[in-house]
Amino acid sequence: MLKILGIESTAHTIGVGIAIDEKPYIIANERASYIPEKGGIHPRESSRFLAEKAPEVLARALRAASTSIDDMDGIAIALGPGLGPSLRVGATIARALALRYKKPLIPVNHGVAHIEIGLITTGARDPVVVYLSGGNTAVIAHHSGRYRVFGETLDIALGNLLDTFAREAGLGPPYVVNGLHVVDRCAEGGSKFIEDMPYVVKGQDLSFAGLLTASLRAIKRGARLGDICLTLREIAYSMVVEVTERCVSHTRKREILVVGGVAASPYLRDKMGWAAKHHRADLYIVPPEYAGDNGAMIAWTGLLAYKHGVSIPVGESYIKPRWRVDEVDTPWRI
Amino acid sequence: MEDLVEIHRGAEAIIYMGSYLGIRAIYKYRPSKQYRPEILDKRIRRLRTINEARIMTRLRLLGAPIPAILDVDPDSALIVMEYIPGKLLRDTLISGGSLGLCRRAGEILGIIHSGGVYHGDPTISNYIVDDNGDLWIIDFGLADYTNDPEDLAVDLHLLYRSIETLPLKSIDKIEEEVYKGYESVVGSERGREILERVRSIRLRGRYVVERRAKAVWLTDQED
Repeated sequence: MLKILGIESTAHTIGVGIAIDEKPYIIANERASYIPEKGGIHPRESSRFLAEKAPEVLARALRAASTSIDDMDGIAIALGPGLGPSLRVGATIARALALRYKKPLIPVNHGVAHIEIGLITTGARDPVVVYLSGGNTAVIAHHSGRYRVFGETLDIALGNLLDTFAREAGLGPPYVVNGLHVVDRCAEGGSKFIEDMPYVVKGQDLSFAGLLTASLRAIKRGARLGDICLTLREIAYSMVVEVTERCVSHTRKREILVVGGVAASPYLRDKMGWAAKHHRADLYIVPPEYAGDNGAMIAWTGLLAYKHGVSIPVGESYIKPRWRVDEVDTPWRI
Repeated sequence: MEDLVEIHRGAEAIIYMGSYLGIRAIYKYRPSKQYRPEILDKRIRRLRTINEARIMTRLRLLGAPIPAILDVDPDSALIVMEYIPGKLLRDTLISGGSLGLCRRAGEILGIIHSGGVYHGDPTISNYIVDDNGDLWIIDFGLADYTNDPEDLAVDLHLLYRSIETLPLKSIDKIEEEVYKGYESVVGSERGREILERVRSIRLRGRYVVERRAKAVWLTDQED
């Protein structure tokens, strides 16, 4: 039995997971997330938090799986994409563990990990993947040995749009309460669709920056906050569904898988469900405990990669803040 | 309008074949999407219909060989256009089509670009060779106005990419002809500028990977 320890620290979450190559696949998934009292995530503050919490999270994961680092077959680390200072925290710990315990170090792409954990936890086989999080918005499909980006945001990510609006409108932080984004919640009180907000789909790509500006302007103009949230939500989610629909019709895949921190929205699920039904595709949504950033996904993807001979010398294990999913070969999935 | 036959169902539009005032016609209809609120859905379908029809009319006036618009109904998101009988340029090239057609494909893209428009999907599957051997270009669903050399270069790049998926040995020769045709319309200075931009697009990792993947998918679909 293979046992891999995975470390995630690309943004504001330090996560440690342990994966094995037989059921139940994931035997530990512990984390701590930096939530600022106000404002957004400052990379320096976030990385300081991650460094402080890392030992405790690591210990919790080992305890949860009743195992030790000696027992591991390798250490998987998310080298990117993400915030430089945050990435360095996890990378430093992973390198130290690999050297101290003489374990192979396995580089993992954070985006690929979101996809792989979605596949193993939902049972989807060859889906169009909709990857939605604070820093990423992309529609992806696997083709000839790699995950290919079919369409993506040209500016800010969907999560960034929702969080920034919530912050400026005084709805957050925290941005997610009881599993529902505060913008989703606020939209429930909306009744009127605001006419002149921009819906920007350019071929296969999308753009949210104009929608954010228009929404903030609507606040200043004195529009009802519920109506703004409703309009913002409807436009943003519809854009994502439109690009997904395009990818499904292009690739003729029969499954749609939604992954990442914004995957949980019930409103997005409704819309996506309609598109799936229309294209006779099955819809899968990653379970909530694996939706946000977590160590289990890094461990699991590291395990897949390690089984196919992927590892990296410590001396070459640079962080890659802009590492794209379509730059990663996936020998475990031809 | 009773004799409409569906010939293609894309993500955004359904294409029907029928007749209009006695001549064979294509009906391009953008169906409503139930996941969008009605007011938004109406707005998008209406604007995209108008945009596409306007661009086609403009290009046709500039002499681009594209189907004539016969009727537009923005409120029902419908465009009726002339039907061009013929074969896809892609199929013609595979069965040994002439280099003259490739040159013409470049010229046509040049005419569109000179009109301040990018096509958005100018692959060899969107060019049609009619029964007289004349070349046409169709599907302006992704087209828009632009002055940005980047948009134009992406167009040329997409055309090259689609050529590169052909199971042929003479790819370089074909691309050279395409460029000659393109340059003959936009001028050598502008032509070189756009070609330079195509090269830089290809050097960007994301485009190399991403756009190639799209070209591969397009090929799959046609097989």
